Amino acid sequence: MIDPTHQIFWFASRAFGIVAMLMLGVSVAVGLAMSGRLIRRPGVGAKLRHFHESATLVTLGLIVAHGGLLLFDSYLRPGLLAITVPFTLAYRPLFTGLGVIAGWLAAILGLSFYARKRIGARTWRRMHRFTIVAYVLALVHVIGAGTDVRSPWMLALLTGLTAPIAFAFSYRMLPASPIRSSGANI
Amino acid sequence: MTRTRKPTNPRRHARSLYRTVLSLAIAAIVAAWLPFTVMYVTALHKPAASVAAISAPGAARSTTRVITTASGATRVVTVNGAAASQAIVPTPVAIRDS
Repeated sequence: MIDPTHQIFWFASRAFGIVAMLMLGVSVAVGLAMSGRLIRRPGVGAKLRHFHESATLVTLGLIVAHGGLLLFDSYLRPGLLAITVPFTLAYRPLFTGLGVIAGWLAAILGLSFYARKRIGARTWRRMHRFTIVAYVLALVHVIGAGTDVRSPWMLALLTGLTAPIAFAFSYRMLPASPIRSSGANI
Repeated sequence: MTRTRKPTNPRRHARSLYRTVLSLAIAAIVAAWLPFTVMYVTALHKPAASVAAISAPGAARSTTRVITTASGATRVVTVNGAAASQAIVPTPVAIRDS
């Protein structure tokens, strides 16, 4: 039996990464459900918006914790540059780099909500559509660099998150009526 | 019929947001605690070092062992002849395979 105390920051970083992915997925799914008008009950929209905003802020905190805790890992010793600049970490640079990009993208797109008046609602809305890219990049990061990706529970978690997001995204992007949108008169 | 939206008090909204964010943050920490504990307990019950002897026809004369060093690197050690009978006892070290 060995003492794994020296690995606590590594374990904590992984644990926060898992929860960050979960929270990001929930936030993106709620955002897509709102924009796609999947839930039309009166009063629910405001509650969902409130939850979406809160979940996004917590996700950003979890991403910071995920990267920040790695700084204290005595085995990896990444340094501030490696966790903030994409593709500079020695460990699986491509996939960890994509994770860094996903983190920055989530931060920029999430916090741009508070600069909506300055950048304009239309620009913000256009920007916000790219949130799905942050989710996809995070997913690729987990698949490529995640230690627990081969675990059945992790696969179940990723599938359970991605399937509703794929549905909500398709529902949002596809036209309501293909006949009307194509302009055909039948 | 036009749908009217209730004017939201920014102060009330901020207070409500603070409450939801804090609740979600607590839930997230509790949720992170579970995988953390599982990882810690799994590491606690792992053997001190992974030593594997390659079974080959020449195994009696020479022994090849894979030793995980304290730095986490894997080292292959081959011992020939009489020395093979002497067991290579690696220092109990932590393994970073997860």
